[in-house]
Formats: sequence, C-alpha cells, structure tokens
Amino acid sequence: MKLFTNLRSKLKDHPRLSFALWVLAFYLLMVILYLYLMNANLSTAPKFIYAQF
Amino acid sequence: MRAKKPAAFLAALGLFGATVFGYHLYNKSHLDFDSNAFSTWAQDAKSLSRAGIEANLDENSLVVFGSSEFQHGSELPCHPNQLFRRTKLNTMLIGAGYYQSLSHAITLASISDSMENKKAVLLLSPQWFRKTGVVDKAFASRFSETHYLGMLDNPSLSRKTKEAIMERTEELLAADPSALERVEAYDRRARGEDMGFFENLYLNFYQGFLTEKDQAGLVMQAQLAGISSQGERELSEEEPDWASLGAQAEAYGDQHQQNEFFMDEEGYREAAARKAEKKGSDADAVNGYGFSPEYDDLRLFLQVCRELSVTPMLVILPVNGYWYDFTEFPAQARQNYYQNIRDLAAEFPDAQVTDLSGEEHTKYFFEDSVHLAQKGWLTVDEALYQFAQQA
Repeated sequence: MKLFTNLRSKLKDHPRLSFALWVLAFYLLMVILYLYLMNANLSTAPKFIYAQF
Repeated sequence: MRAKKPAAFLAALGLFGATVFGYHLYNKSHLDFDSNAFSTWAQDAKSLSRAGIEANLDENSLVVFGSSEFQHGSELPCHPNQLFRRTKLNTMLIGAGYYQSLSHAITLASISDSMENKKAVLLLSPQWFRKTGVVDKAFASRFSETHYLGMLDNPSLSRKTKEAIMERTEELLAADPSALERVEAYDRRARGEDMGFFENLYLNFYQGFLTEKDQAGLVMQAQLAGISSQGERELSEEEPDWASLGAQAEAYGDQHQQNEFFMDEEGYREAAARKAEKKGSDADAVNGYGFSPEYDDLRLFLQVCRELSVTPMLVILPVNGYWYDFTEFPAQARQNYYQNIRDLAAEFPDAQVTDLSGEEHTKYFFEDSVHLAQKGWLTVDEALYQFAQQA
C-alpha cells in the first residue's frame, strides 16, 4: 500500500510521465478491444453440431 | 490532472488509428499466400473469406465447391490437398460440412469477377437432397455476409436471379434473426429502396468492419496453420501418374479397408457401432432424395454460372452402395436421384457432368458411409484435372 501511495506521489510530481501512462493505458485498452473484435467469433447463428450424415 | 485525461484519450486514439491502419496494410499485403497450400486448405475461415479467395485466384486456379469430403483424408496422397500441392493446377477448394448449392451460388457470384479461369466444379453429395434440403441452422452457421454483399454487388447477375437468392436466403436466415435483420437491410438497399441516413451509415460501417475482420482473421488463421506467403517454388506441369496412384490406392484399400462395407478402419468402427439400429432402417425411403428444395438451389447455382459465363462441371458423387444396401435404402430411389441430377444439368447445355453413380459398389471408394477414400478421391481428381485442361 505504501509502495502504491509513494508511486502515486511520484507520478503527481511528473505530469509528463503520468500523461504518457494514461495514453498507454487507453491505447492498450483500444488495441485489446480491436484484436478481440477482429478475431472473436461474433456469429449470432444458432449452435449447430456438425454430424456425419 | 483531470483535464489531461481527455487529451491522453485523444492521443491514444491517434496512436490507435495509426496502428489500425498499419495492421490493415500488413494484412492486405499478407493475403497473397503460397497459392497451392492456401487453395487446398479446407478450412471455414478460407471458405467464408471473399478477400482471401480473390487474392489467391490466378490463371491456373480451378474453383471446386464441395462440402465435408474436403476435410476427410486430407493427409492421404490422393486427396487434392496432397495431389495438387505441387502442381501448376491450383484447385481452390471451397466448402465444408453443410455447405450446399445455395451457399456456393452466393460465393460464386461474389468471386466470379476475380476468376481468370471461368470454370467451376461442384461436387454433389446425395445427402444434400434430403426432403428438407439444407437445414436452416446449418445454412446460418455457414453464411458469409462478405460473400453475400459481393453477390449483391455483382453487376452481371440478373435482378431476377438476385431476387431468387435474396428470397431463399431470407427464408433460411430465419434461424439467425440478427443476421436476417442485416440481410434484409442489404436487400432493401440493393433494390434501391430509400434507406435512412443512419441506417446507411451503419451498414457501410459494418461492411467495412466485416471486410477488415475477414482479412485479419484469415491471415492469422493461415499463419497458425503454417501457410506462408507466396514464394518462388517449382510447380510440376506433368500430369499425375493416375495408374501408379491407382495402384497405391488399391494397395491401401487391401491393407486398411477389409470389411463388408470396404470402409477404412475408423469409418468401419463408427459404422459397426450403428449396425444394429441402421440395418434396414431406410427401407421406407422409396422417394429418398427424390424431392427436395435443394434441386431449386442447384438450379440457382447453374443459373448463376450461366449468367456469369462460368462453365460448370457437376460431379455426381455416388452413395456407398454396400452401406446403403445394408440400410435397405431403395436402389431405385438412388437411381431416380442420379437421373434427376442428369435431367437438371441437361436444362443447362453448357453444364458438364462427371457421373460417378456407377461407382456405388467400387471397393475402397469410400472411407465411411459418405466420404471419399483414396480411390474415390483419385477418380474425382482425374476428372478435375481433365476439366482444367480443356480449352
């Protein structure tokens, strides 16, 4: 906990670093969402079990 | 600090936009694969991908539509995946289980402009022609919106044929209401009806998203399957040695297909487990495969070929006669089915037919009750090869 509060204080003292970290966090969220949308099976078709005739 | 978060978000958005653009360029440049490996790769991601198929068609490509047979025996020497892997003839296999005539008609209309070789083969499985035709849930699970949009955009396809495809598609997509809603919107737009500004915007945005997803998903799956990008390779122009391959297939059958149905070991294990329930179970099927909506879907496929100046070859696959005799599926019903296909093909003078109905009782033709074994594949491969060689 102390480590976290120390880190937070340090970030307050370095606005550029704080900004960069926010940019990175938003960017990663967007990339993760994008990769999910690109690769997930988004089909809404009902489940159909392929069975040999 | 708080005022900087929106600025950070905007900066991240800018970076993200550049990343997406770079990813788009990467995927687009990697769609051109080692043609034969990609073409003979029987995988849903490929069959559903308009961009992937179009990027890998060339003057040596022969488009071959089929279904579940592509995914059986693909490691064996006589499967097109192996036989045509190093040949100049590049067989673009499209299909998997439950891809039937309507799906293939849509795909053909979607890709025809990219086909330098205007020929298409359709491997017809008798099982497509059950009383219900293609199962709606199966159709929905195999439905490709990118191919459907490609079909709607094809200027060479008549309005009448497009309407028939639209109607049939909407009927089958009742099993997938979300997809149906979008397809109905595409259809209204294709008919020139007034669309609201936001609806049009949504459809265009969704279409762009689908195209990106199509490319990205395919590139990733192909790379995972070990299919590399196009490279310099020596491709053989020699005709395969059919006699030698035939001897190999026969020897394989002598070793691995020794049972009453001449199936391979795994196929026979599955069949044997069902023997008690299947014996005589089809005795009442006097009209089996005789009446089905699939006939109209097949007619649509041939109509699409006609309008797009594509020469089709229908390969009439037989049933496993030994198994079908065991289940007492009437021989006359089987013959009626084969004749129905011949009659339907005759309505389209340009349609060629490779009639394999006489192979019902050819030993080692099938690996199970429905899928081709090496000997069956070899017969089909030779037909594909000869068709491709025609001027």
